[in-house]
Amino acid sequence: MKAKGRARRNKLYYKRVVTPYLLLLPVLVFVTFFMLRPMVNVFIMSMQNYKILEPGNKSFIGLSNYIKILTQDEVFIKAIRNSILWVAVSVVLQTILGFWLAYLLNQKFKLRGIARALVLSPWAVAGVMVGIIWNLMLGETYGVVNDLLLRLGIIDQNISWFSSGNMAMAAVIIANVWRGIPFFAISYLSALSSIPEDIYESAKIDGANRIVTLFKITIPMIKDTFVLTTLLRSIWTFNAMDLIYSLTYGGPNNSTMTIPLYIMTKFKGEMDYGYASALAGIATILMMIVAFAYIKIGKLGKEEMY
Amino acid sequence: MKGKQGIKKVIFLYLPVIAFIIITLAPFYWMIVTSLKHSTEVFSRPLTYWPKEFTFENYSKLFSGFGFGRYFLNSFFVSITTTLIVIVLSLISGYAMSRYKFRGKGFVYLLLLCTQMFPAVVLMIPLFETMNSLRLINSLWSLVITCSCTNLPFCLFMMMGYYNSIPRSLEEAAQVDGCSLLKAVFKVLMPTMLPSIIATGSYAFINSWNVFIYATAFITKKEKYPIPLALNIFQGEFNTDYAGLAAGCVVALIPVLILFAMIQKNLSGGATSGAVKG
Repeated sequence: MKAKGRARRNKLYYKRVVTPYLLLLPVLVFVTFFMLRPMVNVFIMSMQNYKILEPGNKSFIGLSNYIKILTQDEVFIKAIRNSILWVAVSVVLQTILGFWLAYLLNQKFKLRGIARALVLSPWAVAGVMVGIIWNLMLGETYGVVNDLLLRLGIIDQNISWFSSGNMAMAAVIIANVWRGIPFFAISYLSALSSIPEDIYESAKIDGANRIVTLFKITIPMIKDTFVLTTLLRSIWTFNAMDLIYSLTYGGPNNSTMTIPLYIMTKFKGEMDYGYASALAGIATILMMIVAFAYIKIGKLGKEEMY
Repeated sequence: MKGKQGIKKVIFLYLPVIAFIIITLAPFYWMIVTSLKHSTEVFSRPLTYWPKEFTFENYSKLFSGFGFGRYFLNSFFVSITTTLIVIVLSLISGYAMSRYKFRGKGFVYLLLLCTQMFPAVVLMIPLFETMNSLRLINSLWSLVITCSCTNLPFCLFMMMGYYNSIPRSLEEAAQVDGCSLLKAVFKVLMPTMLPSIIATGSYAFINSWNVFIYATAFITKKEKYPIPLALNIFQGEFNTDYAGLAAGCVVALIPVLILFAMIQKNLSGGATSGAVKG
């Protein structure tokens, strides 16, 4: 009788221990096979001479691809510079505008629900489509932006957005900011709504005005969200290439070529899988450095995560 | 005093909100207007802000000439299948992450968090080889598998957050009443979870509807294109038919915008705070 009871208890205990692993098994198998294993493979492929157009020539060549990228590849240097510009300007503008928008939407006013749904809607639009839509907006002869600027007297002849490097970069960043504001606003909105009302009440009683409240209470209270959102979105902005792909395809003269797009052109255009993998390897290492910082800082809010 | 307060509210609240709405909607407006113009009117001078003559020829051309229906179905298949897989798996694993304490939980959490930063352009290269060896190149299943994997971690976190917000006593009470755990979860938790399941599912649907990078890598056959890829090719092929392109965008946007309207409230809820991926 006693032994039976123990066996039952053992079985229950066993069940309790094994169940979570069983429940997680499908996800872990999926992630291991289709995300972790490929990640390792990229580094293996990056040390191979592996061009689809030269079949039968696949061989191990050590770090040659990396050396070639770092010492001889001018497009790579340009792409690094463009990527930094693309991430920095996009993220700074999106942070400011996104916070402003969240701050506005956090106040109570009539029709707030509808306003919210409208201004956050670019969130759902695919990067490729953002590219097409902004192509319609910015096109030299058929674009509405040039027409509006002309009518307002700001410019006196059409800007050709896609034929000069700087303007093309401006164009992709404008489109990206338009698309990205909702991502930031959504993050900040949930942080802002978690600040208890009574803090504002007591600040008001103490005579603090709106600006003081904003800088002394609101911003410090959501500092963690600021840091995390900025880092996370920097990584995602760095990775995002579908918008540039459809708006400028890196041109003119590689002036909007970013690292992910460069990987894509090497992979899809030249089918040089070894070289593309080495580029991907470098991108990953850069990312890991940033991600490491993210996780370190992320520890701030760790208790609530587990 | 009251009047001054009112003016302040107009300047600092209503005007900026209206400005944000206009800037957000202007591109959508322009896209819809362009799609309803004759393709010659697109280039007419002066530019027309309202079609001189409404036409649906761009839409009918889209389906008859360009075969948009096929692409629509492809995207639909990928998104629906992915959504179902993601919902089932994230329901199961989210439960484990929320309700159990076990060795390695922190590690699993960190691992899944890391996968959120893997760039599609990097994974695309080795995954092309994998799909090739699985004979899935030019099969929509390659996209279903990839989209499921890339969306799973975040959807799992979403589900975990929803489970966390439901008191454990709910399913415990049911178990005391003689339900098995499985039954308790299905009969008691599921009804309360339904809105969360819809939110998670819509999130996965939108992301898979928009999948592009993997599609360019895995799909080369025209009849297998999902919508974003088709639109991109369209953009290149018919360089000047902007009205048709705009019509394509409108059609492609309808399902995602409807879903977005449904879930936009959930996106800034506690569970997903700070990490809505796109």
